[in-house]
Amino acid sequence: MSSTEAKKMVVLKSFDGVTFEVEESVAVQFESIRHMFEDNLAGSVIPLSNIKSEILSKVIDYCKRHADDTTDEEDLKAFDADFVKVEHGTLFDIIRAANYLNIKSLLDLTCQTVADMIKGKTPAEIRELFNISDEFTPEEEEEASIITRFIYMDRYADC
Amino acid sequence: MSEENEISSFWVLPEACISYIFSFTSPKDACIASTVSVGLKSAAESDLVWEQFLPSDYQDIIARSVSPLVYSSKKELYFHLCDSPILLDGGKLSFRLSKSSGKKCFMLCAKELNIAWMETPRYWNWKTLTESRFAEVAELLSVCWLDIHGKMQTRMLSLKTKYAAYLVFKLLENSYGFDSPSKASVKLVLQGIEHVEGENNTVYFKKPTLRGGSWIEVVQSIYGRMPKKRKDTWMEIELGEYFNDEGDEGDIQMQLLETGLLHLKHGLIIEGIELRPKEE
Repeated sequence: MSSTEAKKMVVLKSFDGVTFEVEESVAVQFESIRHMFEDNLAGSVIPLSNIKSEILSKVIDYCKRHADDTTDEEDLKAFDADFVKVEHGTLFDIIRAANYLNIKSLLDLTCQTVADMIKGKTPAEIRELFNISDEFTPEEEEEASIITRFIYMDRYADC
Repeated sequence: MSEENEISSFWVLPEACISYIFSFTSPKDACIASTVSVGLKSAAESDLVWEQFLPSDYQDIIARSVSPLVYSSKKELYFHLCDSPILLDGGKLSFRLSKSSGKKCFMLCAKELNIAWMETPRYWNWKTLTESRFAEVAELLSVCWLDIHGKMQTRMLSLKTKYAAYLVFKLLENSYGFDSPSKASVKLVLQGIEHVEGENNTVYFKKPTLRGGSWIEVVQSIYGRMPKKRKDTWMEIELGEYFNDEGDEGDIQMQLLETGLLHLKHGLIIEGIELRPKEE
């Protein structure tokens, strides 16, 4: 490690039993578990029973990069853009982890990414995107198609 | 990763997360998503989503409403504000949302405008019309000098938005004196000092009749702006545009003038001046 100073470390344990040692300066971004390591529980392992090691490792990467004051804004933007170039399944898992750990900037980044996929899509395209099989009943379907027609024809034309 | 895995991981997102995702889309996207499946419908209709689509100061605005608003969800409120304008500040101002963007639209009633000779009953008559949203409209009986202007604080408008101002009016069957062009402008006024930002536009209350007209009139009418029919039976002319970037804490001054040719005019009814976002 570059610094010789002893840094306060926090130990996190993923759902599948992998432990990660993280500097406290990075872990402070995990809003929802902050109190656990700030209450002088240094050294004890914090279990994150619903986050897989593969996802936790990505989340830690993200927080490390965002805790580093020396990274300039352009590089950080490029890092973020690259960070979300993952399979949908992984992206949803990261959203869940960011939500659980309450990391606002990561939640915003990943939710914005999914939102951009949804924007401008037709109902059929959204169905395909998320592989949605949870269908409406024929009556609901009829109602939905009326609503869709209504949206396209009337709602979005201003005077 | 297999398809199965992808499906399950989307649906294990807490509903609040799915709603949060929709809050980054648009009203149209959220409406479309709610027609996709039962699961998406509930997430896309949540107050969390529609609160984001409403203007950030919507609570202050609806508190100024003349009649109280009743709504059971933020989505219902959103569409209520899109479909039926509400009157604010004792009826001087009408407010609605633009359907596609949720941006703010205002209309100043004729009484709130500054119209030359407006208090002289020989020239202007104030009356009630069923097709008006306001208590009174202005009816021009007879003037040569037509000068109408209105003012609106820029901080009331949506940020980062290009607005256009429109004079909303009607011409009576027996109207006359409106064949000639008028000058229109929309300008920013900061602490009483006019910024020469807006251009001067040539506008017409009606298509000029070219009977016996010269080629100059034909060319002028091509460069001038013609009135358009609105859905609410009124007519409108675009006076000019203004880009509201940071809400500069100034006023927008909107003006229409016919003080050049000074033809005698009669039969104009003024509803007000509307400011609404201009779609690209």
